[in-house]
Amino acid sequence: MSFNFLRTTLVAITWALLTPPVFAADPTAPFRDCPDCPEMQRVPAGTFLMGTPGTPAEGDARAESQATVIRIARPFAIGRTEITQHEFRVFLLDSSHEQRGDCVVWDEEKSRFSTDPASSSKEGDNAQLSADLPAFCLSWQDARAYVQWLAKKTGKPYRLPSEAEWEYVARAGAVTLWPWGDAAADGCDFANTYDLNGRERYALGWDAVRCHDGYAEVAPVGALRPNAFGLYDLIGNVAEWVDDCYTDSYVGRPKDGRSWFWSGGCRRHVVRGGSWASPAAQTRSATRTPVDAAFRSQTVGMRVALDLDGRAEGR
Amino acid sequence: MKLRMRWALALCWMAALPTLAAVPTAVVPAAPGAAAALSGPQTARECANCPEIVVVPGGAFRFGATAGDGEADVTTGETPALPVTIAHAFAMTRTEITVAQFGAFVEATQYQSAGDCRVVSGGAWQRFPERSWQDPGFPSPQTDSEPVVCVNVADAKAYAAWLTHETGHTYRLPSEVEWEYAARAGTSTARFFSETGSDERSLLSLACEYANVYDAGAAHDLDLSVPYARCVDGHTYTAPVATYRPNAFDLYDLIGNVREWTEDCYTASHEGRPDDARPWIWAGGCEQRVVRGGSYASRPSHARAAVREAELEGLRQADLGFRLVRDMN
Repeated sequence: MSFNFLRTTLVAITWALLTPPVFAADPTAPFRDCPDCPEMQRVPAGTFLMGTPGTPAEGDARAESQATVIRIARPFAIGRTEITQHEFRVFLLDSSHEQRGDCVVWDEEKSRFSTDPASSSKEGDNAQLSADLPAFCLSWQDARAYVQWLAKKTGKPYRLPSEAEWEYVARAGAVTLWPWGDAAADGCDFANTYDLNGRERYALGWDAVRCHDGYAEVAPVGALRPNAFGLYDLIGNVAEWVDDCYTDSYVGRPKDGRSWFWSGGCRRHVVRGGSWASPAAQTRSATRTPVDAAFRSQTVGMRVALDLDGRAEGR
Repeated sequence: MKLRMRWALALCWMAALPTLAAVPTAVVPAAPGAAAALSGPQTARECANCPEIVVVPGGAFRFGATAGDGEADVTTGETPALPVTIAHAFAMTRTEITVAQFGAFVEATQYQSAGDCRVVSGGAWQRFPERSWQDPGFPSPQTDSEPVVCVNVADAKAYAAWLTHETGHTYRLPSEVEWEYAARAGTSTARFFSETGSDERSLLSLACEYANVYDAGAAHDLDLSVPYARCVDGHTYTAPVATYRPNAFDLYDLIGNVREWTEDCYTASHEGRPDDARPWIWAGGCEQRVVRGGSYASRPSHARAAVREAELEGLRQADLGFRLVRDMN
């Protein structure tokens, strides 16, 4: 009895001496699950109003005006930035995924966005660009393939953000039209949209936001200021795919953070946040754009979300 | 005695009819008039207690309210109309499921359906724990041939599962598209009986010949403070099924009598829905289901082919029942 006790105590002391001290990891610190994985930021659970009550009717704003209280019950993690060209290239090189279809790009000669196979941004073209630029010219299927690959690679439940999660992290607590307030022109420190720099370089045919964000086209991820959750470029730079199917009503949608997805799938998904080429109306936190799942564009990219394990909850 | 007589009747009737298996399943384009050929032999009853079913041909139609329909409700997604194709013929119960039919299921399975049904009391819908399909609290009890009420989606699905088990054929709730296609029976007007425009203001309504709606009598008895059809249909509450005139598919009471559950989840739009006969349902399940057709308590503008209403799928209400579809493959 006493021998056993003594032995147990000795083992315990030895163990304690040999084991390096464990510091509790800072739960708010960003993390990566592998060197080429996207940097993730944990965000808290919370409740917010999805949509904009009394939105002025502009195109597809109907659902948005049916503002809905959404309760995100669990903390989760979201990419600090959009997926970069480097990160997406690692996936393409490591997988057998093939991107299909042409990409809609700005055509200098025609002075409009168009599908021109010769000038489409293919993987080879991307390689010549900065690795820190956001990946673009990827369809919803491409985005889905990326998160599935990432989940397999890391053994963690990476996925596309749901539309509710996206708006929750884009707002980061703000109830204003944009995360920084109710005036688009106050946002040039935070978001790369179609601004006066953009207008000098591209005559896109719509109004530019009246400030200078410093970038005429796509900017390296994280170049501008983060929002209150420490996240970059939710608004602007490239628009981002979310998992959800699109319909132009919010009635009947899940009231939690889950993706709203039809049994049997859907043709159109939702794209959020607007891009470097978007006018103010398309860059609000609540603006929704329906896009065909196969559509590829120079202005559309992605970021990822991750379910956190049980131990991370409740802190 | 009474039951035995019904058995005998049903058996004679079945013997006199070719079975459903003999029914041609070819796709028939939907057109008014083409439907007339469907009456008569293309019906069947697959067991003594089973509901009678009618073959509805495949076809194409416009799902939703017609442009310019003054009664259309733009807030529920019934506009704009969506072109939809129903690729295959299907069979549908000729009437709403009756008290006798649901009762046979309950008796056979000892299925427990809770009460807590909402009934009209004091001019408003109120919930009463003791009200159930067996006793919805109408002034005179429902007869066997009246549509069962106070059944929620789970009750309807349990009945369909039992019928499927009994017959070896798949019975299920209709999709919303199948329901409206059947209700229109080739028509594109607001109601199969060609009453267009807002009859809420008209002096006389045609509705009472074709449907048990919120009529002058019901308005007097129920006092729901909504417009009523300016006619008398003879029933304040549920009427025996097939009391009124059928539509061109030989189906009864799609408009009026009781509102009917469909399989579809509800959202206030058609945008993004399947453009075929499939139900539109969410991968994670839905909170509210689409309810169709209006009832004895529905104002005239809610007794139309295109009207969409949403109800929590657990709701039991004394004007809410169902009919079923039987797959033909």
